[in-house]
Amino acid sequence: MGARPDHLTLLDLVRGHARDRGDHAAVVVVPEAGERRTLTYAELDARAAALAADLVARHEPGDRALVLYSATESFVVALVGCFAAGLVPVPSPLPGGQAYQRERVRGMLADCDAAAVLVDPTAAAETQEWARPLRRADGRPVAVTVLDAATATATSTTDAVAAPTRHDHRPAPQDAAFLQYTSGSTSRPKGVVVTHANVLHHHDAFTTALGLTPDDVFCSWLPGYHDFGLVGMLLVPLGLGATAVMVSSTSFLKRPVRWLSAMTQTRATVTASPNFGYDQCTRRVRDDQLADLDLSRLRWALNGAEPVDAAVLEAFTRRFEPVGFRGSAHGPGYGLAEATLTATYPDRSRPLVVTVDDAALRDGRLVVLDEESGLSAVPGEQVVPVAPDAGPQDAAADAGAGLGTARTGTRLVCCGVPHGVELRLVDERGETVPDGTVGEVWLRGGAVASGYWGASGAEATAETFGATAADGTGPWLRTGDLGALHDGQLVVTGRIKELLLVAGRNLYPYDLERELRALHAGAEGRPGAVFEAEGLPGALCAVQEFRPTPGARESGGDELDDAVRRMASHLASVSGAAVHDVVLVRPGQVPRTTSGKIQRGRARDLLGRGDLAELHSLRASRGRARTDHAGTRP
Amino acid sequence: MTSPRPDSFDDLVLRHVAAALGVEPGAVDPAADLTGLGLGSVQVLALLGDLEDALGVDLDPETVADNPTPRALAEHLRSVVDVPGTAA
Repeated sequence: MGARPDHLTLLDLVRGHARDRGDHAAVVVVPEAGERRTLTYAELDARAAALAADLVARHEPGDRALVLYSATESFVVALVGCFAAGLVPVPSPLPGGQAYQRERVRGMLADCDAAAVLVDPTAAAETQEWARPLRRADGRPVAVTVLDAATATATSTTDAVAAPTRHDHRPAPQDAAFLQYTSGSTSRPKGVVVTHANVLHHHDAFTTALGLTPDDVFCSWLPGYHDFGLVGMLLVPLGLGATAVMVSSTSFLKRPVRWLSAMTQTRATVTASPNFGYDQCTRRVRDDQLADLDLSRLRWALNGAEPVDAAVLEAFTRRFEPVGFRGSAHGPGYGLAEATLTATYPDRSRPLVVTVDDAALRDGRLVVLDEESGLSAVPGEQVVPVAPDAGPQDAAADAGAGLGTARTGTRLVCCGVPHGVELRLVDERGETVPDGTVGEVWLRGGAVASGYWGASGAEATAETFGATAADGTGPWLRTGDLGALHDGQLVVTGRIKELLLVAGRNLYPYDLERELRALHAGAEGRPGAVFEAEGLPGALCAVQEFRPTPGARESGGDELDDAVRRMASHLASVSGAAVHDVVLVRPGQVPRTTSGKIQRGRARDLLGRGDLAELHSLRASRGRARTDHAGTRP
Repeated sequence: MTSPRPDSFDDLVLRHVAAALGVEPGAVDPAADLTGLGLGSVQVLALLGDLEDALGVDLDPETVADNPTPRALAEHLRSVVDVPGTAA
């Protein structure tokens, strides 16, 4: 790949595949019902060219076009059509039925001053109605273009259609390829400007690091407006000349088995999902559904976009090894939209999981007690040293039982080695920290984007993309993520903003949350949030989703009492901090971003306003009980 | 596929909603919004998937936006499921 001329873009690669392997499937759509549909590279190129001709006739080069995501081939045609027309596609969810969803899409459209909205025919009517009152910054209406699969041409709401002659636009490497809006848990959405040069630089790193070929088949349920879905599961296969299989996220969330069935039917070799997707499969795929599955061709089950949990990887392997899944396919990585997608890639020659000393980690040091290279599917075979507190039973038994004094370990999943970027871990002065010391992840290189879109993003661009290291080098991308290097691999330990500084210790909410949900069957696998109590620095609050044992209504009060006290006890003994409250809430109450990240600040606000549906709380249990010591063992 | 009696749709919906919320079916208010009861979007889709499996019908993701309470959802299911012996 190194011999590729510098002036090429992803569009040139796609056109090359149309020429050289035009009959090869570029996109396969697996609908919720009915037959699979295939779009070949030749068809993709022809439809994209027709769309580009239409877009060029009515828009200026560099105009932004919101491309609304449906899990259909038209989404991919729209992306490539925009590249070919010199427009900047902005992948977006459909405006949707809920007010907050419409507000979010309207916010993106306004921020990038989009000239056009491209939409699949299946969502045309509601999109046209939604867009009718919208105006650009200069007062012009926003044009809606319906991507018509049947006639392979685009029909637009405005103007006459130009003759579908091929418009031979060639984007330059430094041109924006697309804008990637980030979930932005706390602030308003920011659009990362990803250039064509970024895309190809990332493409080369991604395909080389993972050993991917044009014969690979990628299959994903991730939506195309998410960086993992867009770059990893669509643009990478398109650049390779490989096949991208699309399963709708709705279909997956209704029945996780559909993702696995699609992989079976299309003989997929590469897939990707955040941690929670693998967890959903383990929990919700039924025994009688296993017989039709065959995951033996899967080479990579990539995992990112949220912290990776070793227990989830193990459970997935255990559940699906009988249908051919290999544990060695697990590929946890680290990345962010600001670096196009992936910064560190799995490396099978290095350990997958490390067990690190809890006390040292709280002091910002990674002291590795044990390494595991592969995850065994056989329970009991793995070697777990030094009083682990990861297993539910162990954790329940150990809760409050001297955890403050015993040397305990936490299992962390390694996120691989950097490719295509230079990676440093730095302290607050911008000094590189020694290996094994926790620092902020800084990145630079060809895959690092140029910044956020527009004047509104200028301040955030300077802050995030313009860091200077203590040695004078820069600009560096500050990720806000914390991690340490172990044997060349990045081990992510948390987020700077979510770091809890209590009782003189650094605590990572992820860890406390994982420990709390392992304490009781009713909390197992359910999200929770740990944060500092409002107005009480150094005191912790936990909000944990909880499902009481069905049918245990009589003893329900005792069960809830028991759970909040166990959790409070654990928090108090591990952190050394006061526990202000532990609140058990109904499933679905802990706020998360669309990509599943826990919103701790919002959880704190909701709790403060009394807006959470509480099942029980530590404070309520205190009122009922004789003792009021949070840290007392049950 | 099962062939539920028309009045059993309410029970079916309440049973599934209660399971997702972790409460007894009797504790679910049939007139309350599902989101207000605490169901997140992922759980709503899982609920629709379960109801589809139970009834052999296809349910649009917007079904819950249009029929936000257990009672309205049951009414909707009654209208889309072909119940043997009840056709006019």
